[in-house]
Amino acid sequence: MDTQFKKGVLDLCVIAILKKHDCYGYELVQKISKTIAISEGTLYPILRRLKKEGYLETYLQESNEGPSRKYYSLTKKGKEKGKKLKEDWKDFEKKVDKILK
Amino acid sequence: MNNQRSRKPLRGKKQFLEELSKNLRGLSKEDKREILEDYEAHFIIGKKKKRKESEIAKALGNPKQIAKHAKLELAIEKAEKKKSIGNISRVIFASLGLGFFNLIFMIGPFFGLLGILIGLLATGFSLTISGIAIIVAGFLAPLMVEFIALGGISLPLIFLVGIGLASFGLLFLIGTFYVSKGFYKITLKYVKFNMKIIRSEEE
Repeated sequence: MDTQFKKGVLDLCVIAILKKHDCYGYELVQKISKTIAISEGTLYPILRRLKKEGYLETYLQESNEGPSRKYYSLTKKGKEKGKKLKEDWKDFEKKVDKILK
Repeated sequence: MNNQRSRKPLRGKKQFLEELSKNLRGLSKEDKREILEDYEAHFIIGKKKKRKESEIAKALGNPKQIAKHAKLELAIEKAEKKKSIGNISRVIFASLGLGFFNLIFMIGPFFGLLGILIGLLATGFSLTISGIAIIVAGFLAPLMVEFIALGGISLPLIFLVGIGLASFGLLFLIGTFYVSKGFYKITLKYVKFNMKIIRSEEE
C-alpha cells in the first residue's frame, strides 16, 4: 500500500478513530499519518467532504494551549456509514486472505 | 552534483498559506476561509508540539496540489447539485490540472462524445421543427395558394407526415436527453473514482 490506494480506506480510518472519541484535526492527521504514509494535507479535504455529506459535525472547544480548536464528532449517519465501511473492509480482507493462504 | 532541489527555499507557515490562498482564487469567500483556517490551525498546533514551521509545511504537502484538489471537490459538489454544461466543464478543467484526464485517451473521446450528443440534439430539433413547419404549411396552403405549393400531395397526407415527423423528432430529443444525463453521470463518476486514488508522492 505504498503508492496508490483508495481514499475509502481513509474514510474508514477517520470514522474508526472518531468512534472512540472526538478529535481535533491535527490529532486525527497525526494518528493516521503515523501509520499510513500520506501527505498530512490530504486529510483535511476528506474531513470537509465527510462533514458536507453529513457523517461528521464540528464544534469549537477551548484549549489550554492557544486558541480554541475545531473538534470533529460522528453523527448518527456517520456511525452507520462506519459500520458499513468496516463490513466492506472485513469482507475484502477475507478475500485477500483466501488468496494469500 | 545536482543540488537544485536542496537550494529551493524552505516554505514556512506564511509562504505556505500565501501560496495556498493564491491558488484558491475563484472559490467563494466562505470556502476559501474554511480551507485556510484548517491549515492555519494545523500550523499553530504543530508549533505548540515543538515542530518547526518548515517541517510542518513539508509534511502537509504541496499547497498548489492541495488547492487543486479542493477546487475539484467543490466543482464536483456543484455539478452534482445543479446539472449544467458550465458546471461539468469546470469539473473537467479542474481535473485536467491534476492529470486525471489523460489528454489523448480521455479528452479526445470526451469531446468526441460531446460532439455526437450535440449533433443528435440538433437532429432532434430540426426533425421536430420541420414536422411542425409541415403541419403549419398544411393549414396555410389553402389560404395562400400563391406562396405555398404542396406539389399535388393531398392535405391528409401532409398532416400525417407533419405529425409523424414532429413526434419522431420529439421522441428523438427525449432519447438524447436521457443519453446526455447518463453521460453526465458517468463523467462525474469517473472523476470521483480518480479522486479516490491517492498518490502519496505528490510534488
